Amino acid sequence: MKQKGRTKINAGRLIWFIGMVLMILMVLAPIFVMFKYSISDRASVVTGGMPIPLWPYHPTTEQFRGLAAMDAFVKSALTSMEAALLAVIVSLAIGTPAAYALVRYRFPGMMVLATLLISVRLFPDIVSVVPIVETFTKVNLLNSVWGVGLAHSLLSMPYVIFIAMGVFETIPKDLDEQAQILGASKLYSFVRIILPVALPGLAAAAIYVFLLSWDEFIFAYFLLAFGNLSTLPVLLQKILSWTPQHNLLAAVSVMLSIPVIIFTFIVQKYMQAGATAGAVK
Amino acid sequence: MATVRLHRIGKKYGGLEVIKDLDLVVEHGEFVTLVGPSGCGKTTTLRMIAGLEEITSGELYIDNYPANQIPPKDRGISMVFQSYALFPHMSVSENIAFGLKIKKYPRSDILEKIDWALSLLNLEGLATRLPKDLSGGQRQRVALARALVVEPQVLLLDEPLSNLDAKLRLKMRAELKRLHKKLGSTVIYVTHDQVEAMSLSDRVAIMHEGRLAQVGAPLAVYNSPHNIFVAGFVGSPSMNFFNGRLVRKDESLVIDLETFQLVLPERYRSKCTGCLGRKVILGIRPEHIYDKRLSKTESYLGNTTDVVIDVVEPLGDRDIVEVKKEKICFTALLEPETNAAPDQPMTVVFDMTKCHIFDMESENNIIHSP
Ligand SMILES: Nc1ncnc2c1ncn2[C@@H]1O[C@H](COP(=O)(O)OP(=O)(O)O)[C@@H](O)[C@H]1O
Ligand SMILES: [Mg+2]
Repeated sequence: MKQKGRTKINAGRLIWFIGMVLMILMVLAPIFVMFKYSISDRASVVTGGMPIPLWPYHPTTEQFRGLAAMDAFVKSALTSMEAALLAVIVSLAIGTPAAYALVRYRFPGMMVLATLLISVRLFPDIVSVVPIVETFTKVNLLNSVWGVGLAHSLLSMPYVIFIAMGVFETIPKDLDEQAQILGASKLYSFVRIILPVALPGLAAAAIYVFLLSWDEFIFAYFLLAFGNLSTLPVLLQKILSWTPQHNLLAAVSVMLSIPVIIFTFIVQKYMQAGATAGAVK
Repeated sequence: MATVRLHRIGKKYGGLEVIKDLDLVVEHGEFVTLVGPSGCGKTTTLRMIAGLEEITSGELYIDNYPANQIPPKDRGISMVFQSYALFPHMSVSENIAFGLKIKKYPRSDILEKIDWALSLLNLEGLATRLPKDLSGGQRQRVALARALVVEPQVLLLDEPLSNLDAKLRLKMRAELKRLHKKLGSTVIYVTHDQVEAMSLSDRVAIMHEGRLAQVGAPLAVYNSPHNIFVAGFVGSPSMNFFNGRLVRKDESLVIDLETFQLVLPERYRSKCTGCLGRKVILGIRPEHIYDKRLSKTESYLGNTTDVVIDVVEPLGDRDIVEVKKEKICFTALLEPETNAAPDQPMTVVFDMTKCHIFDMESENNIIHSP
């Protein structure tokens, strides 16, 4: 027996569903194309006028093996990794205590300072790149991974401070005060109580900085373009300028994206609330 | 253990004066409760004693040493916050050991003290749990254990029971009393719940708008409140207040409430004659108003009046009965045998030997002046 209510299709929900599917397709299509190219054999890319197939004729890992064997790629990947880690360390080492001070020790003009901090990012990168490159040239930070890492930590510092301020604001002041009464110094309670409780939130900030550095092109390009170092985005640009080989380019792009995808999943896991559960109430 | 002495303590936030001229001495081993309505300055006072809040004026002495400038960790105090402030990433035993580790106790001492605290507060078996895996009552006990294990001279407690459900609160109240008896430490306790204050304390300090309204043993503040605020704050259900005028009738003094009159007992006469003809406020507790039919005491019988029952709230052992007499409403605590029912008429008796008379202007108790 058919039950009328169950089988009735709700028009609104159907439209909603179709819309969702379309949006997912729109997001996934470029990723699919990138991935498809990266595993394409030559015949599936250079088709001599025939339409490019939806799936390669002979999927291959040739490009990836080629990249792994390519000195420039391996070196750039390492440089990217180093610069990103440097950016994470520097921006967190400075940004986290700064954020804590801003949250716990309210003082006049605090909002002005906070706004100034974020105003660094109000200008387009292309505007701030010139003074930064010039300054870095003077202190011999051109063509070095240190320069790129420092530049990236400058770029990410405002985000770190704002994310960390948000994290510290959720940690009750009672915890600091309780530690203080039990004999802890300010530093001790920051290191032993506040930091561990803030860790999940700070991890999110760290991953954000890592990805920002990993993807960043303009600063890396101006700081490295005239030497022999390059980060992955800079390498991609270099490859683009000699032979635009679709499948090789796509393989580099996939390698660039993998950390982004992995870290996004990690962030989501860490973002789940509950860091301060049980502290109060 | 130590004494705590507050001498003319004041606190201002900017221009806002939240604590005014507070004088209080807490003796060695005494359990004193700061009690008062929300916002009256209890937490601020406690935080000043703890050293978390700067003292604007006046002097604080702990163990007879001036303590205004001593940092919290050197005051010999422990504090349990209303929120418990357990360190969420540390297990129960790590929380308890925190203060001991900072004070660099030897490892074996720390383990011994943790065991002592765990068994004192019935927390055995929970040592490795994280705060988030504890119930409200258990968290409260961990916070208490952490405070007690450092052997404070003075234990400060800010509304430690207010986050617990009613039943657990009663249980922990008895537990706290047992702990205090056992350890004999000086305790300053903050609560807004007067029943809690009365049942726990050696003395209660009732605060009102940043001032001390009265300090005394629970029974003393119940029996002889110095002013209307204390009279209305202490006791549940609250004291009834009636506007009236003190007049002479025949040989005795009576309070004229317009709709009826009540005769004052002989022994209050000397204190009240000075107020003859003045407007006063009569205060009488619901538990001192009886059903005439059930009252066996002949001596009250002059002070009766006919009323109509408005609302009845049965508690089991007693009924809270709200009654009306023309425009005047008041509350009586009656025995269930009265069988009170709404809209019934009845006659009530006032035990005027237990009444209070307040001056309308100063709001001070004329009968029990300080
Ligand atoms: N940091 C502060 N700044 C300004 N006013 C405050 C601050 N802390 C408390 N107060 C005020 O002081 C008064 C007393 O507060 P509190 O001691 O917390 O009261 P209680 O604990 O008795 O409820 C309140 O009116 C409150 O608004
Ligand atoms: Mg309070």
